[in-house]
Amino acid sequence: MSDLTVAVSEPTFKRLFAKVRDNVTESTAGSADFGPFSASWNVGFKLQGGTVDLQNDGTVRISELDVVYTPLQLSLGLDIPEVCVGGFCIIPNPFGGCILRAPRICVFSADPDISLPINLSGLITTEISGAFRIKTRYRVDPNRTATMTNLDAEDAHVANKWQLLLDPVWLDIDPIDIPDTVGNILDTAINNAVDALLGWLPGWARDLIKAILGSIANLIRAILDIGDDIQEWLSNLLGVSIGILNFVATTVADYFANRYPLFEFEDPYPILGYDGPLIPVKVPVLDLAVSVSDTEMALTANVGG
Amino acid sequence: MAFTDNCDLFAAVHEAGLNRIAHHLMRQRPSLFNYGTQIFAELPELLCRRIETHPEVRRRKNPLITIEDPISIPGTDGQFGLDFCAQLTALKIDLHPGNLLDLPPELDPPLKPQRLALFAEVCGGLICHERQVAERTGDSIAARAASQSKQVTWDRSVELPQRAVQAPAWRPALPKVLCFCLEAFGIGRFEVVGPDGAKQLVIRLERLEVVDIAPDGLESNVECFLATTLRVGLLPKLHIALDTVVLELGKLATLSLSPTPITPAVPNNPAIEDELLKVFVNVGVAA
Repeated sequence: MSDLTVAVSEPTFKRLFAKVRDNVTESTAGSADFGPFSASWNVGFKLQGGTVDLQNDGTVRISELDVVYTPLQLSLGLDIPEVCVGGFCIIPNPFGGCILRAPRICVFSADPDISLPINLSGLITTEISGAFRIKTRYRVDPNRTATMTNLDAEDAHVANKWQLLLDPVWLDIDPIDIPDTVGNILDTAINNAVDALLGWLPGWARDLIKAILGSIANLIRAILDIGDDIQEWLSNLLGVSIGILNFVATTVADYFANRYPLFEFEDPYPILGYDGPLIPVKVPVLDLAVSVSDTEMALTANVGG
Repeated sequence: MAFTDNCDLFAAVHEAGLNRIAHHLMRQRPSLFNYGTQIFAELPELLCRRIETHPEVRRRKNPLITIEDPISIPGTDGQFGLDFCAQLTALKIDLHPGNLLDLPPELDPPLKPQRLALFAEVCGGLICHERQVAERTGDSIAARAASQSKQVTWDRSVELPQRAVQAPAWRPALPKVLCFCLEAFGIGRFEVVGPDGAKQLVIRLERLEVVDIAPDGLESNVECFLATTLRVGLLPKLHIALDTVVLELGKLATLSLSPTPITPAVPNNPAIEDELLKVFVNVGVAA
């Protein structure tokens, strides 16, 4: 018989899960050059929905937990080949040369020429399911020095801690679910960018450039290698090129397994705090163990001598 | 049957763990269990029992004893007193069904359900001065009373310590402490008291029996003194405030705890059974 037993019911565990889930947010930013175009991103996610169940095999099962990407802001930079129009001679000089030339206008001279800001926040989701074991870990704070007593460590906020963490047994992350509306968003972004880029030109120049390049929008699509399926393209961009699936998988696993313990407490555990100059009374906790059944999670421990 | 069939959270402490916790408490907070006048703080070797402490107590210069005024000597208008010490030197708790302690017949063994038994060794002693010192002190008091209008200088260095003075002017070089130790057994229970929002888990001492003191009247007085000291002086310092026990959940949520109400399914909360102190708790979750 252990000295100490604490058990949490499954309904309580579910409420705790919901509260933790609602408070999990993470984000990252980055940029990369993919040859024909470059991308920078600010990607974050939050968790929604899903269920948690305690299992008789000692695991905690999480099902159909939605990862909602927000913020999800992309900025695609494209380098379009330079196009120059005009500069032709309007009034030739019969003795050679040109008396009056049409103005020469060059576009797409910059690099990148077009920056497409695409805000997909809250539109794209991924679904996660997994099974986790609850493991215990005894953490010695790396900032604790060898000469510190337990009380010194407490005073310096580097006390040893017992921690409970979710250790993934398996983790399944579905492909990114991209709705149809994303295609329209991308088209709108492209058209807006083209209008902004060429809008300052006189009408004849804009017509001339479009005649040369055909549809600018189609050109951009070709540069981005979008093809016929914009969803597949975006899924590949986000999931493979930018790698947000890895980011989510790593972050979610780390969230539960390493960075954010489900629960932690100091060891030795203070049962009475400081009372003026009187030191706290601290009790060493040994042999912390956890067991899971389909009705509750139970912790046991012993009191050290 | 699961621990949490009728509550959100269940906590239990086995009597072995409870006794180890008590041991840590006595070593790390010795001033909660040892009392005496100033002289015992200055000369702890005079105490009836040596105090075993955690090294941190001495390193942080925590007091070994709580300093009390000398015991007032009747007839001196509270001006004079005797140095004393009182120590709770051993403490053992036995939860139902009792198996650690042999209760004296006066406590009607065996231990009843939902009850705890406790054993305590209490040691105490007075510094009793030489007869001549007491006589000189009495003479001084009498002479002062008789010559209130006269300017007389009294040699107060030969008197008993003044009660209100923390460091008496006179002490024998090596005072002699008349030590005694008593064994006391008690019966008690745990209880949750207080209004909502300020619930506390407390120990209630129901009965106390001091072993082998005669005559009966003296025994009753000693028992009354010890029981009152425990109920008023010591046990209130060991209350556990249930509502303020808030656990941090990985910085993502906090739990506020309150005792599960008594129902037919939870007839005792806290409960003492199977050598365990059991507490059934409802949990509130907040961000």
